[in-house]
Amino acid sequence: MEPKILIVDDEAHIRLLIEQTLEELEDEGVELLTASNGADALETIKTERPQLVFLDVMMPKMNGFDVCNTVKNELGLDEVYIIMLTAKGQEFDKEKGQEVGANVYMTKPFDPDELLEKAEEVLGL
Amino acid sequence: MARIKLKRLLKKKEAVLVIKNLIKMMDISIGIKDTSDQLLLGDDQADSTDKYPIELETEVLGWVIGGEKAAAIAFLLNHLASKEVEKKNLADEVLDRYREVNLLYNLSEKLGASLELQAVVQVALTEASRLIASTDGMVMLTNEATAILEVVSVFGQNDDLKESIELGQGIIGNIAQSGKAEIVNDVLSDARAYETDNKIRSLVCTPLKTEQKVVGVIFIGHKTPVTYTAADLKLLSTIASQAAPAIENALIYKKKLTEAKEREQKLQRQITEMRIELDEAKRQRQVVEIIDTDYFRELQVKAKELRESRKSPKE
Repeated sequence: MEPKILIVDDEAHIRLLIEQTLEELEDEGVELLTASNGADALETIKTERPQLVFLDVMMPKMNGFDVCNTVKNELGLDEVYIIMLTAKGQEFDKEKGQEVGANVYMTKPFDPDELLEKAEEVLGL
Repeated sequence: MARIKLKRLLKKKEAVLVIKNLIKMMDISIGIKDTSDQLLLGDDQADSTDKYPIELETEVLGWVIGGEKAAAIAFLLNHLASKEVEKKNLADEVLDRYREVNLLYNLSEKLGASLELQAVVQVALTEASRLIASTDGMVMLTNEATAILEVVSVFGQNDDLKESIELGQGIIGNIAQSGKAEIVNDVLSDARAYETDNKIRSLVCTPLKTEQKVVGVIFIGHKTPVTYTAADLKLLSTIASQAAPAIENALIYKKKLTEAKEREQKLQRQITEMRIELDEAKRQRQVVEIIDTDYFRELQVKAKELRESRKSPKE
């Protein structure tokens, strides 16, 4: 089964940038999926079961923490590796992150090379 | 190889919705297959008499199989593929701009972290060598008094590169003098090449400019011939544009620090001199306090009487 990465951000340009950064992984058989809000993200996670999720923290209606909490604690999908994306200058609530089961966090603006490296590391490529 | 795959294109919900609706409206049975004959959408049992290619520029991404009307679906998919590639090309450019912004952001943070000249120069050179393929690199600053370019920071194996040069001397000196950034992919063929330049076969060099003047140069080079591009020059120029004002600030800071130290030393000397004067004044006061007493006057009188009494027996 081909590995999957889900990119969740309410800002279209961020989704595009991350997709573009990870484009070369498609040649290695990785499927890139996107979602623009928390509810869609949860639906996609349930149906597609991605191995890795880049998840924006600040989203309207359902924020990243809620999505993460649902995935890890309610659905029990511990195998989904979740990287929270938080804006630089905004203090990331590490305690909350731990509580909801986030694996790691990255600040925006992100370093594209670092992002790609992390994705390859998580997927074992 | 094509920038996009048909399979990925058909994962797009909007595209699939449009195609399925069209198939329903036209009341046709078609199959969409990739180049390895795998069915991606539609009916595997569709009439395979007619086969229409889904093309992107000159490359075939797959086929639409079915009757005459399948051509319309193929035409639509050609258009969608073309649009998707346009979007990817645009996304590429956006990502390049994003990388640039990221570079400026990070560089600005690192350069602002210190006022020490060595630290600032090191940040610039480290970033340049990280981003541009190189074996050697250097930052040189102009000594205004002597018009000599002096090495401030260097990396690489080339010992000759650690020498100072005059403005206008060699390729680097020439660039410092002209104030114009350059790529020199064949140093040996360049008429300006100085003996030390020759150890580097290709280089990209840019002046460090502030609003008022050129304070030095930064260059990145390779000991084997490489082809530096406009993109490399742009990267180095971006780094230089951030580094130059930071270097100028560091030089001003260094100068102010030296002046402050000199003032401090002068003050110390003055304090020492004043202490000596004060001690002397104190000593003199103490002497006055002693001699200006009745007891001392009586002593003086007795001493005088003694001197006179010694003289008298002789007479």
